[in-house]
Amino acid sequence: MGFTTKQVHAGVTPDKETGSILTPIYQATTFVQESVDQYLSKGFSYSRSGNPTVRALEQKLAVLENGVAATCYATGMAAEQVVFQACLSAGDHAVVSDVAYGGTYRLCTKILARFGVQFTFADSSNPDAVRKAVRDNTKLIFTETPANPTLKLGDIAAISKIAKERGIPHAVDNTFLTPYYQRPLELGANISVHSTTKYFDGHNATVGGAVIVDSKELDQKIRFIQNATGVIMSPFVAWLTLQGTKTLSIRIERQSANAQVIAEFLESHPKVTQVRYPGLESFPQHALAKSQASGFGAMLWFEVQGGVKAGKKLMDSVKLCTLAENLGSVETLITHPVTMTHADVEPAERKRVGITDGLVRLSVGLEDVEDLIADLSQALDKI
Amino acid sequence: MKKETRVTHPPEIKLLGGNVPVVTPVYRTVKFTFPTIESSLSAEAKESGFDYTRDSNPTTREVELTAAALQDRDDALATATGMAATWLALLGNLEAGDHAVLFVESYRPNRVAIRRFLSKLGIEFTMIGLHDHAAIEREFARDSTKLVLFEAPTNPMVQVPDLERITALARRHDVVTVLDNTFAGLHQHGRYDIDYFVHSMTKYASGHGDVMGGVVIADQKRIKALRPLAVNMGSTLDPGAAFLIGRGLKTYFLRYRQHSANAQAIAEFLVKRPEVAKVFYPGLPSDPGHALARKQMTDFGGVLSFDLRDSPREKTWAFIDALELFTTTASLGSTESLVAPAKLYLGSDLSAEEQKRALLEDSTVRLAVGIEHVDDLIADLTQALDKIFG
Repeated sequence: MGFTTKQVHAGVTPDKETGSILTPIYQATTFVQESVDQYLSKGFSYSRSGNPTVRALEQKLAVLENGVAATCYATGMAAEQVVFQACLSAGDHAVVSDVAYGGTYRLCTKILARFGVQFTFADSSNPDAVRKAVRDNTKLIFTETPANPTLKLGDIAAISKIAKERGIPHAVDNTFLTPYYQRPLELGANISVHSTTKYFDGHNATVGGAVIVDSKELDQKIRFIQNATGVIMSPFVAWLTLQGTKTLSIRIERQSANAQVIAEFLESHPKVTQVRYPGLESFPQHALAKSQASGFGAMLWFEVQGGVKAGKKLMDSVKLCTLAENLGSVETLITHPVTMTHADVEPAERKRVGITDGLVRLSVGLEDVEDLIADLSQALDKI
Repeated sequence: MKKETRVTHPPEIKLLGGNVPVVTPVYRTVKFTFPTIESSLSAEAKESGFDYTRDSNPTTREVELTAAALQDRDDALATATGMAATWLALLGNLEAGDHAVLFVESYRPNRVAIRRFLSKLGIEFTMIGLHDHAAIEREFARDSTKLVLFEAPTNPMVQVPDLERITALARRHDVVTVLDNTFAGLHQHGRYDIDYFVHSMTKYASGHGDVMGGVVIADQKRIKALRPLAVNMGSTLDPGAAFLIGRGLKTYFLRYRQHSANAQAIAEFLVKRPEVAKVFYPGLPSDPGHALARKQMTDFGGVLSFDLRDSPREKTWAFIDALELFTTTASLGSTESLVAPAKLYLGSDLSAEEQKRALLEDSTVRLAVGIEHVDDLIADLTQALDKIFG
């Protein structure tokens, strides 16, 4: 069955009681058991442990990622946190992309490190660097590709091979490309992590997260933490995400096409010193982008002449592009990672991983691309 | 302040200038207030202020103005359902003694509104054929004729009216035109001289099969004149529903064009099948409405109908029941593909002779094509045809 068919139908069956074509929002805390003997015979007891609306989304996401099972969370960070907790205990070590999202870095260094978990932030664009970072007590490799905001890629198959040799899971944050363009589990990874806030919702209306795994055993470990820590997705958010997912492919296809045009425009603009977009010939890992994903996504970054000052001027001058965090939604959003998403990362660490002071991140939306280029063009003229 | 008071007067959250949500919130409030009585009476407050959600609400207003912009008009009025929008346009323009024109090919509830209900209020009507231009001219020329209600294309047989011709005749004879433009969508037909567009926003506008809503779109003068009736009738769209429709509108073009591309491929598949006697889809070059549709439209929509060959009612129903991806139900314009027995669902108010004129046969199947992968939809149609006719 085609992806676009699965994104509409997977996980959703007409309601048995009424025939409602959509899964209802089961806004209920608890589920009545017919008898003590039949406890859990219908699959649900308490919404922290499982809810039918959330379950429908979990099943849809598992199908789309070609996984065995999925779990959903209050936010993308909650999803990550559960993966770390399910895989790591005091004394364990994890290898994490050095270009991982600022929130991941903060979770590792400020929270999990307090509980005796050790981390190495390795250059995940180089499988050898990942291999060298693995120790005897390494229990998880966590990568993000493309990375936020640098767009550095990790070779999913090569890193998964390293993980497999050591018998440890490889988790990939697949938020930037979604399973429509990239399916880490098919490339050998064991866990795919998402902020559903981004492309799955796509309308800037919810925050949520998901973890899709390739085995029942991993799912059980993860579900245990999900239930114990209670960082669950609400039925209403699950319902909105179910609906958003139905247009995932057509949104990201158009957004990516827009991003390609904008990247090419920026690359030829005299005031732009550098553009990074996986779909550009000039992108250092263009070949890897083409081989492990079927599309390039809608995230790009660029640097303007004149450093921070010029970058700020640009961001204050755009009218259609909205100055806001988040990405993957229908609205084009523009951010300055150094002062926004990556403010918690130490300057030396930022510099090391390539987040320069003048880097401007663009999450390209669904608008008419000519309108977006006109907006960027007038803003660049003001520098 | 005592805590008992505090719960009904929660601390105020002030948004700093310029610090605003990217998405308009659901204004889940019945009432709006002004700092002083004086300010509530200002011209500006009367023009664009908010008072009571039955009158207007910011979340709903955003949907109204978006719909108006797409339809090339400057104002709109959102309603609880598409039928509420049709009713508003009818009641706002007709009174006892007036005569209305409607068409046998129309959507059943549109016909029922006039034939069964408005007729009780002393409104006369004539039901003619959409392509019978002589009859249209004759009926428009009657002194008492006040309004025409029509669709482009029609539901369910996707018949295409000649908009230029009908609107010119209407203008000449001072007949108010109400076009149910749901099938063509919000982005088409705006350049024609239509007085009122009505839409079921339950369909392509919201697009996800999760909310009901309607809208009347016209120039500001007409909408202003209609609003007191809407406020009095209370057919207001709920802000929660408006939020979902607004959210749906953001992918409107992507969805509408995908629906159209899928429907085109399915229509082309069906005309080649020996089990299919006739396919009705304006995007097909062989369709009698094709030339007109090409002139009037850029996208032909997601609905098509077809007649199965030598297929009595039971066989047609068996075919519909054999489909797996297409869900048997009314409605259209949502991400999921739907199928309906056209005569049973959409022709029950007509006599046998009228059903024939409306092109509704026992063998007629209506498809509301979704945005799934078209190969899967064609595979489903193939297996059902093979199963029932093989």
